Amino acid sequence: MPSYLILVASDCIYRLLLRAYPANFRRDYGRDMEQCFRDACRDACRRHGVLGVVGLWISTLFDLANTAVSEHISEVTHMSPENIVHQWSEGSVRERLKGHISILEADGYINGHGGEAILGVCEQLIKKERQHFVLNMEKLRLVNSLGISKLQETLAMVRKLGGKVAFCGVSPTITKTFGIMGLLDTADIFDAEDQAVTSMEGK
Amino acid sequence: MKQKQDPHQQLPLTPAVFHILLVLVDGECHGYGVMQEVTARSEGRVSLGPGTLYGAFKRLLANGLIEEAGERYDPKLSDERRRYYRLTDFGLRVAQAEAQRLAQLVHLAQSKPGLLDPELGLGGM
Repeated sequence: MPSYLILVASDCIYRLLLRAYPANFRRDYGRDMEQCFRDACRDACRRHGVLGVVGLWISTLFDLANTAVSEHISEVTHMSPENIVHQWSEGSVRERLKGHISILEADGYINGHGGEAILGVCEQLIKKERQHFVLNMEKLRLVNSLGISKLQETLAMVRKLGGKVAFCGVSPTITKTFGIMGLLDTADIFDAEDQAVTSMEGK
Repeated sequence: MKQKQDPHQQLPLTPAVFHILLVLVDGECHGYGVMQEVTARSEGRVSLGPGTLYGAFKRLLANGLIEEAGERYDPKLSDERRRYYRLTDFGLRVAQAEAQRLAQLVHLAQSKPGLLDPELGLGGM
């Protein structure tokens, strides 16, 4: 079999095998892992021919079996209720990382308690040297004026410490409330999370 | 006011993670570059697969030891854009603390005459 066919076939098979990883992990690193494997395959083929590719496949399958299991375990741990960063009676906020940016996913209803919770989460994360936040509101139903005043407080606190805050997935109803409370004039608001992250990374 | 994290809380590092940090001490690098460097520097004794490498990146990013440094082309490789990573100040402090911890261990081992074996090279260190 010509070497380019071996490389193409290996690439396709590895891409299929990547499905063994959790969806979130694949979304964040799948493309890069595929790229790494493709590079490694090309080098192995150039240096040692077909036998090199076979050797690479053996080590890659061990790597894949071990790490796919550990990533699933890590995913389950992350999704368990104990790992929700903060809950209040009408909602919750959960944190995950995208690059060096903390994504805060809020759901339910942000009232004064919810706003206080988000402020507290940001304070905790700042202590861990995380300064940039995207507040994803796709799953959020409502936010009241007390919640917004706490969000304004969060915004001011983060900016004072040199960090950034952006909002995304804001529904028309919430956008209207933001407008009434004057948050539209000061906050960076994006349709999608990726747009917010890209803007924050300065790409 | 930002509070400084204690690097010792991150120790001990796994050999794979310490190797990754050692590569990034020398500057920004993409995933495959890290894989190649780790294999070369360990003379083939440590070989990272993509799953191990990106699992480690994920945890290092989450703990603030490394950060993404954008995407660009590597002229030495194919014409694909690659995501680069770099060490943070905190990551550097963790790598220094791990190096110090390992140096203390080696020093302790060197003080044990029963462990001095010229074939292993420990006595000559």
